[in-house]
Amino acid sequence: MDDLYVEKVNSGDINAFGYFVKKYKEMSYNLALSILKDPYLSEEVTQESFIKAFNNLRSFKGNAKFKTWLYRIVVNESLQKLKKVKKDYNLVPMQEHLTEIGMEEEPEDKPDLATKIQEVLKNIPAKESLALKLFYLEDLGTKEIMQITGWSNSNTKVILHRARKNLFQKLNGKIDIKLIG
Amino acid sequence: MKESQEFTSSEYRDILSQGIERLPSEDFDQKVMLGIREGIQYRETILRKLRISFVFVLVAILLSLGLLFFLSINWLVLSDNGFLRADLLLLLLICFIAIVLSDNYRRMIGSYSNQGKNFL
Repeated sequence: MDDLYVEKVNSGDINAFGYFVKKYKEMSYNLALSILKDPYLSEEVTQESFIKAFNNLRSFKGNAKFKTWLYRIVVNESLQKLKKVKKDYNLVPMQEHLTEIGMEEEPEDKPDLATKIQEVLKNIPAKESLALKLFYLEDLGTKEIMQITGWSNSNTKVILHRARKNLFQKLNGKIDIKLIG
Repeated sequence: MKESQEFTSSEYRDILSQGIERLPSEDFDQKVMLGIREGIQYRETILRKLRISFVFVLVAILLSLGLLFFLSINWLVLSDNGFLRADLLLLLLICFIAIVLSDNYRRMIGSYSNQGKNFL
C-alpha cells in the first residue's frame, strides 16, 4: 500500500502524502519523544521529518520499507535537534524547568496506568526506549533497527536486552500486568 | 509481582502500547501539509527568480561580448587613428561590467541556495 502512495506522490499528487502523515505520525512522534523527552520539540521534529521525507521522496528507491526509511529520518532529525538544543540552551528537562520557574505541574492524585508507563519510558535512556518501541510496537527485526539507528548488530541486541531488563525492573510490582491487554 | 526476570513478548507489547503518547496538536496533519505546500511555492518562486536573473545576465554578457568583438575589430582596423585610447577604455569598462554582473549572479545563486537550505 505504501508503495502505491509513494508512486502517487512522485507523480505529483501532493495530497496523497497525507496518507503517510496520518499513518505514521503517532509512531514518528513517539520515536522523537524517546530521544528528545520533550513533547513540543518532538512534535516540531516530527513535522520537519515529514517535510524532509516529502522533499526527498524521489530518492527513496524502495529497497527498504517506507516506514524504515521515514523512521531513519525521524531518528536523525531528533539527534540533530538534541545536539542543537543542548548546544544552544544547555537543555534542562521540562519538569526541572517548570520547577525552576515555579510553574510545577500539579501531580495527579493517582496516575493512571498509561501515565505510569509513559513516565517510566521517559526515565529510561533514549536508546533503550527507542529500541523497545521499534521492536515491540513496530515489529521490526534487528536488521531494520540497525538500518534506522545505525547501531551494529551486537549493539542492537545488547541495547534491547538492557532495555527489557530495565523496563521490567522499573515496572514490576508497580503495575498489575493483568489490567493490561 | 512477577516471579520471572522479564515480561513475556506480548506483555511488553501491551505495556508499550499503553505508553504511546498522542501528539499535542490536533491539527498536526494540516500543519505538515501546509508546510509542504509552502515549501513547493517557495521553491517555485526561487526558480522563477533564478530563471529571470539568468536571462537578464545572459543578455548582458552577450551584449558585452558583442560590443567587445565590435570594438576589437574596430581597434584592429582603425588602430592608426586617434580612437585607440577611447576604444581601449570602453573595452575595459565593458569587461568590468561583465565581471560585476557575473559576480552578482553568483552571489544571488549562493544566497538563494542558502535560503533554501535554511528553509528545508
